[in-house]
Amino acid sequence: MNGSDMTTEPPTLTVTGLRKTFHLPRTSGRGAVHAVAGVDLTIGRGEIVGLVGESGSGKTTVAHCVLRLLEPDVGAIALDGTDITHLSRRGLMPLRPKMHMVFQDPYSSLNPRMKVADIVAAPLRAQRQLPRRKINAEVDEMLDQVGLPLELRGRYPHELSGGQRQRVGLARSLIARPLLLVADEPTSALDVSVQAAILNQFADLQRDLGFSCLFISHNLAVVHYLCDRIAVMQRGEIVETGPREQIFRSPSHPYTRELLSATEVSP
Amino acid sequence: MNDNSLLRIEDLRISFRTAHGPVLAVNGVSLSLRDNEVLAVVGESGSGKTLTGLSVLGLEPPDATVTGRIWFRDEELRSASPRRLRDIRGATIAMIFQEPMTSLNPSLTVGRQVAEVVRRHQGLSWKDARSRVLDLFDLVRLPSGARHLRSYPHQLSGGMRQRVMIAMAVACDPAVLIADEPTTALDPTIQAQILSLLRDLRASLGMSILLITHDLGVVSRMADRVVVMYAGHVLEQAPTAELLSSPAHPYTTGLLGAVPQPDSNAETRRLTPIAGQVPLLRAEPTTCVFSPRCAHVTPACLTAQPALRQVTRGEAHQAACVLDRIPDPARETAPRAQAT
Repeated sequence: MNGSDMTTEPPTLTVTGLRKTFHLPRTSGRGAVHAVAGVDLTIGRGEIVGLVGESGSGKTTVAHCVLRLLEPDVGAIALDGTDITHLSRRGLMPLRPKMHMVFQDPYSSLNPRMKVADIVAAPLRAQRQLPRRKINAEVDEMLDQVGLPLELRGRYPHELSGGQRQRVGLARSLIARPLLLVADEPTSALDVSVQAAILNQFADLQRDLGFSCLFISHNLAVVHYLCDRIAVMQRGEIVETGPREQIFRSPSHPYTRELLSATEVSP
Repeated sequence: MNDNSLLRIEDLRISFRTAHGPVLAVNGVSLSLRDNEVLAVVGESGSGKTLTGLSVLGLEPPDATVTGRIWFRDEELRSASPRRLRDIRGATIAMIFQEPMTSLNPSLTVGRQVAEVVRRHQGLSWKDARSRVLDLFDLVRLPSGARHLRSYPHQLSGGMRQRVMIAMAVACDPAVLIADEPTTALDPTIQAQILSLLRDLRASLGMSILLITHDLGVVSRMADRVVVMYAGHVLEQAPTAELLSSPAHPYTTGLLGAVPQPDSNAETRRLTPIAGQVPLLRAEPTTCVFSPRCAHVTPACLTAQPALRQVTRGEAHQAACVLDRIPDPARETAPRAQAT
């Protein structure tokens, strides 16, 4: 997907000079937290970029700013060549289907009072363009694509296993065929044997649907498995970025080296 | 007791009564922790590994029914009096938990909480306890420890809180440390620091560690021996290097194949997930507990849960599987990876 046509089309996501500061209540005695302190990031067509770093390094804040779930203080965010930094809620509406998010916790990110089919259909219904029959057909196709049996359509989230719930989350995020998927630690709450199945599924879906992805994780092995490029964050800044193999074979920043040595798996 | 085991669990069974009938969470687990050994108990959620650890100190939930014997040296702990157990807990057998924030009291300073341990078990005065706490903070490498005597848990980072928990655990120089997912909630770099601290403490204090974890990376860096648990049963046990290089149970092979390896070939790589879910055992199994998810089921697997038996080569290597050799997983998954 990230072949020759990249030169003519704009990158899926361009983030420039992003800053976000949180002001804490005076009683905390800590003043302000510079969660994101100047981040530049580009994600090409069909590219998966891994964003790694320890908790508190600002990964999730970047993700939320990209989706305009948080308002950035400084900086610009362009989705598919359109500057969305200052678009109003209404102005953003037609662009919302182009970006979507998968959350870390498959238990709290699904509405417990909605059935699986309704959860997955929600992004399409929000667009108010498709007739019901078409939506139902799309939901069935999407459930099939994420490896969920159609019998689960009428189930509620509490009736599903952790892996099944995360597949529902994945189906919901992809049904509107977004250009950009933001995945925030989508497998860290799952057992390893289940995580492996979800990671395989994710790789297949990306290959079939060709979306771009910002994949946030603190698990370097997972990032290595999925991502084309990797950006390493520390204290609100990206300290190193590069192709996967370069980051793993010849990391240049001390923090990257520390992260790598901390995640060696083999004895 | 026989051999050189320090802590020995014999035929441990833990069950719960629920509205949907009984659940057998631990179903006949036996294992032994030797002197100065790190024994890892590995399993996914629902395998019964945490309950096994908790039951050693009588900390299982009150609605659990526990049978079996747990020997610490020559003493049987399941029949020990509550008073005797209180003396043992934190003194000769100590425990640390996954999430240090919920295991510490948020309304007391951490200095006070560590001091309480040495006061309770060693009868020190507050003054002596204070200097002992400072030594302990030094031992667990809590940066500027003196300043943190008066800190509350919420003022510390996750790694520092885990260091405080470890200080409490090793305060009385325990013979056994039960560590339940001690690094799971921590960042990878902090995780590495805590593991190296535990390794050093084990060497300097001569403790044995029962390490409960789901993370094979942690196992490979810490453990001398591994017990693999699944659905309340021990499926395999072996010295760490041997288990990782030549696993004898299909579940262990599956676990190893499911973990992404950064050094694997990037283009041909594909993870081999284990189909299905960890089951909830509701009755005594009539087949191998892993058979519903196993790719190599034979008729013999469907007659009973196999007992642990010696694996041909390694003398300390046992597996609960009827197969003598697991068919090569690489050959089997290769065509599937191309087809999808």
